[in-house]
Amino acid sequence: MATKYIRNFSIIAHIDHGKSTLADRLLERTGTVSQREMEDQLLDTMDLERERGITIKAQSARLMYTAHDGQQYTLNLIDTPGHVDFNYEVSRSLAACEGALLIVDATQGVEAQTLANVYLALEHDLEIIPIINKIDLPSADPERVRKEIEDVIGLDASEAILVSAKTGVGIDDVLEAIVRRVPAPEDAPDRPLRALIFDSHFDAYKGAIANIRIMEGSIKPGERICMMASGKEFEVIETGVFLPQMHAVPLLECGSVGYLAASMKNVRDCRVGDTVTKSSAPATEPLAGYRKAVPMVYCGLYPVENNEYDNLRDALEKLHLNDAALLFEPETSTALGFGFRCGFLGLLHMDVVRERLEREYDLTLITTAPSVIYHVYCTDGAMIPVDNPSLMPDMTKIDRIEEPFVKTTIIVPKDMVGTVMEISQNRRGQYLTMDYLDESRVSLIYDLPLCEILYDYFDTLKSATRGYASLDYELNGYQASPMVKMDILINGEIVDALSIIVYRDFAARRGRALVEKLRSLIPRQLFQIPIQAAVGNKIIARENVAALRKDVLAKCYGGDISRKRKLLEKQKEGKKRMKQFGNVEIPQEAFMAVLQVDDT
Amino acid sequence: MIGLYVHVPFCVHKCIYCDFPSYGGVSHYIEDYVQALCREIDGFTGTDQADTVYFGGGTPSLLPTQHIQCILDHLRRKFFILDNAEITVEANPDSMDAVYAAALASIGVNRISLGIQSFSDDMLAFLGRIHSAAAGVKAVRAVQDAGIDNVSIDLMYGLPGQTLEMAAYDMEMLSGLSVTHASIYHLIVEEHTPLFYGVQQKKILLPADESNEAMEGNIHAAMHAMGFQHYEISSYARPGYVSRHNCKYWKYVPYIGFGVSAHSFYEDRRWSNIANIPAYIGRAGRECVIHEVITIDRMRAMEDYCFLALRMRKGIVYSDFARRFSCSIESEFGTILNQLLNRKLLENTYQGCCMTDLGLSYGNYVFSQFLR
Repeated sequence: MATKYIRNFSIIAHIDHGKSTLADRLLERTGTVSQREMEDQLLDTMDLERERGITIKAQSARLMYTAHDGQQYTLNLIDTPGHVDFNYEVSRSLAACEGALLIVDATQGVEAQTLANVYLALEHDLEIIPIINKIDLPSADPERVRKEIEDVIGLDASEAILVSAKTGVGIDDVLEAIVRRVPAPEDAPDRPLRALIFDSHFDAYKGAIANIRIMEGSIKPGERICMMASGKEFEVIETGVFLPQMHAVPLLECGSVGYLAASMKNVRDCRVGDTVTKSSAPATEPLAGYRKAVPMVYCGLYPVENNEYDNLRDALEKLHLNDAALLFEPETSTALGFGFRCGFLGLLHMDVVRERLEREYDLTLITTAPSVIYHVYCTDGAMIPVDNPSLMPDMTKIDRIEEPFVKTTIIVPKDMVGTVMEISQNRRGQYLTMDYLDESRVSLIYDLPLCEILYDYFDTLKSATRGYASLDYELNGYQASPMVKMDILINGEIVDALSIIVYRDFAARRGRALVEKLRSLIPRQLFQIPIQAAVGNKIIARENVAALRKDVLAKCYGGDISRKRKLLEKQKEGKKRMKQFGNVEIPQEAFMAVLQVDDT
Repeated sequence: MIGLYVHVPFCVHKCIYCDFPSYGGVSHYIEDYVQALCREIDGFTGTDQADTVYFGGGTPSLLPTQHIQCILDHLRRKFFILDNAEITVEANPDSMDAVYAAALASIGVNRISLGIQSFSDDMLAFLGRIHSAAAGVKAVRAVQDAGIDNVSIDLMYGLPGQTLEMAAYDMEMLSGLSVTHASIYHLIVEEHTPLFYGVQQKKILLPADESNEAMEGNIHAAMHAMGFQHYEISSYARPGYVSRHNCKYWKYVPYIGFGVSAHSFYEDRRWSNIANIPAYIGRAGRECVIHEVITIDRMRAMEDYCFLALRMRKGIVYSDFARRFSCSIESEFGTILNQLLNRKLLENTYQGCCMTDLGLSYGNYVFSQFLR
C-alpha cells in the first residue's frame, strides 16, 4: 500500500473540550467500531480515565475510510494524554503524525492547554485543522471562537469545521478534511528502518508492546531490531495494527502506525521516544527528540499495616512494568516504618498511581506530602539532589539550595487578572508577560517555583477564579532560593515523615498553619501532646493536643456486662487506622495535612 | 454461691436521664407482673445456693411488701438462700416511710438502696425526680429507725447548673446521715432520652470538664475523710459494708436475674430477658422469656474477667485467674499488662495488679486494652 493513502493524525484539545467524544464519533462513522460495541470514550480504557474524564494512556486506532474521491484511505488516529504531567508523551505522539485536529470548545474558546498543545504541534510542523466543537449548545459562539483562534493562535480559521461531536454534526467534514489537508507520510521504504516509539504498554502474554510509527523502511516478525538509545536488541515476534484492539499483520510498511512485540520484559526496554532500527542494517542517526522521562514530584508511600510491605512492592513492580516514568526505591522512616520513595511526572500521575494501588491491589497506604527535587550545593562543592526532606543535609553544610521553577501560562477573564497576580505573587511568582487574547480574556505568564504549584497554587487559583482560569506549565530550570527544612515535633520528637522544605519567609506562617491543622487531626490521648514546628533548633510554632477527657464514673446497672463490652469494643475500633509513634497515635490523614492547610 | 436479681420495671414517673427498662403509668400491671415473676422463678431449673438477693428497678419500693414477700418465698423455695444473705431493695425516697421500712425489715430485707441522687431541690426538679431534698433525708432516717442499718444512697454529680458548692453540700448532707454505702456517679447522657435531645439542642448545658473533674476530686476526698473505702469505680463503703451483690458482677460470680430485661450470667452463658411487660406476663412460666443468649468462649471469658476485675480497686488476683482458666495471666495478657504498668495506668499489688488513680481516670481505655 502506497503511503499516499495513509494519513496519521492526532487530536489536541484543552481538557473537557470534547476530544474523546470526537474520537468516538470518528471510530463509529468509519465503521471501525460497530454501534453495538460502542461505549463512551472508547479509547479511555482504564476505569480511572472514564471516571475522571481524562486520558492517561495514549491509544491508537486505524480507521478505514472511503473518501468522496472514491479512494479508500487508512487514517491512523493517535489519541494523546490530556494533562500537563504527560507533556512529553504528547510531544512523542505528535511527532508520529503529520496532522492534528485542534478542538476548541465553541462556548469557552481558547484555553491554556489549547495553546500549549498547539505550540507543541507547530514545533513538529503538523498541519493543524481547527475544529469548533459543541456547536449544539445554546451558549455556543462559533464566530467569536473562530476569531479567537485567528487572533490568539494565529491560525487561519476560515476553514475551521463546525462540529457537534455529541450529535454527530460535521463528522463527515472532519474525515474529508483529514484526507484533503493532512499530508501523506513521506515515502521512504528503501531506507534503513527508523520507527518512533510513541507509547508502550505491558501485555501479560506478549511482554512489553511498543506502539510505533514507521518513519522510514519497514518491519516484519522474525527480524532483529535494536533500540537506538538503550542499545538493546530483540527479535520481533509480532507486528500489528490497532483496530483499536491489537490485530496482527505480517508487515508494517513505511508511514504506517502499529505495534511490535519482541519478548521485551518491561516497558523500559522500549522507552517512549526511542528509535527502533534493524540490527542487520541499522540507521546511522536516531530520530530527534528522545528524552528519558524524569520524575518531577516525589513522595513516600507506606503501607498502613507493616505486613503489607511485600504486597506494596509487588504492586509497584507490576505498575512499573507498564509505566516507565514511575520510579520507586525502598526507604525507611522512623515514623512510618518500611515503604518506598516514589517519583512521578506530576501530581496527577502521583494521584493516579496511588489510587490504582489502593483500588486494583487493595492496599491501604499512607502518602507523605509530595516534594520536588532540590539541588543542594554543599560547602564542599558537591551537589546533592534531595527529594525527601528528611534527607536534607545539615544546614551548616549547605552553601545554597536551588529549586525547580516552571514557566506557567494562566488564561483568565480580564477582570480576574488582579486576583491571579496576587495569588501568583504571594507564591513567589515572577511576572513575565501578559497578553490580551481578545477584549475579555488575558494570558499571563509567570515563572513559579514548582513546589508552590504542588502546594496549593492550582486549587487556590481555581477557587479564586471560580474555575475560569486555565493553567499549563513547563519546567524552566533551577534557581537558588532561601529554602529551609521545617521539622514537626510531636511530643518532643521529630516525626521524619512530616518534615517539609519550605521557603524561609513562609516558614513561620506555614508552620503555624500546619501545627494548627495537626492539632485538629491528632486525637486526644492520655496526656497532653505538644506539636511543634521547628527550623533547625528554633521552635517557630506550637500547639497542644489537650489530654483525653477523663472518664466519668459510670454505674453499671443490673449486671448488663454485654452492653459495657460493646461500648469498649466500639471505643477500640476507632483506633485501627492509626500509626503508633512512641506513645502517640497518629492518624493517616496527618501525613497529608501539609497540603490541606490554609495559611493565606 | 450465686446472686439473685429481681427487676421491677415500674416507676411513678420516668426521669429525664433514664434509658433503663422502667416505665411510668403502667402500675396496673403490678399484680400480674408479680405473679409472672413467681412463675418464672418456679420454672427455673437449678437449685444453687445464693447469698444475695437484689430487687432493682425501676422502683421496687412501689411494690406492696406482701408482693416482695411473695417473690422472696418463691426464691427461697427454688434456691437455698443462706440465713445471712444480703437482701437489698432499691427504693425511692417518696415511697419510703417508717411503716414501709418496718414491713420490709420484718420479711428479711436487710439492706436498702435509696435513690437520693441529690440534696438540692433544683437539681432534683431538673432530673425529673418526684422527691424533695428533705424527703431524701427523711427516708434515710425512716429506714434506720426501722432497724435496717445497712443503707446505701445514690448520688449524682456533673448535673447541669451544679456548682462545686452544691456538690460539697451533698457530701455534707451525706456525712450527717451515717449511711454505710454510697454509689456516686456522673450523669451520663444516654441516647434516646429527653436529656440527650435537650443537650443536643443546646437547651441543656452540662458543666465544663474541668468543673466535673474538680467535683469528682472533691467528692473522692470527702468520702475518704469520712472513712469510706472506694472499693469499686462508682461505689464507696464503710468497712464491712461493700455491696456483696454488686461485687458478684465484677468478680465473675454467677447470678440469675428474673423479670423483664433482667440479665443473667451462669456457667459459660450470659442472657437477658425480653423487655416488654405484657409479653413477659403472658409468657413467664409457660414459655421462654429469654431475649438473647451469648455463649462466652474461653477468650472472651478471660477478657471479661480482667476488665471486670479492674473495676474493683483491689484489681486482678493472678492466682484466681490461674485457678479459673488453668493458665497464667502473663501468658495471655503479659504484653498488655506490661504496657499498662509502664504507663502507670496499672500498679502491682502483692497478689496481682490494680488501677492507679491515673488508670481510674481513663478506665475505659485501660479496659479496652484487654479486648483483643
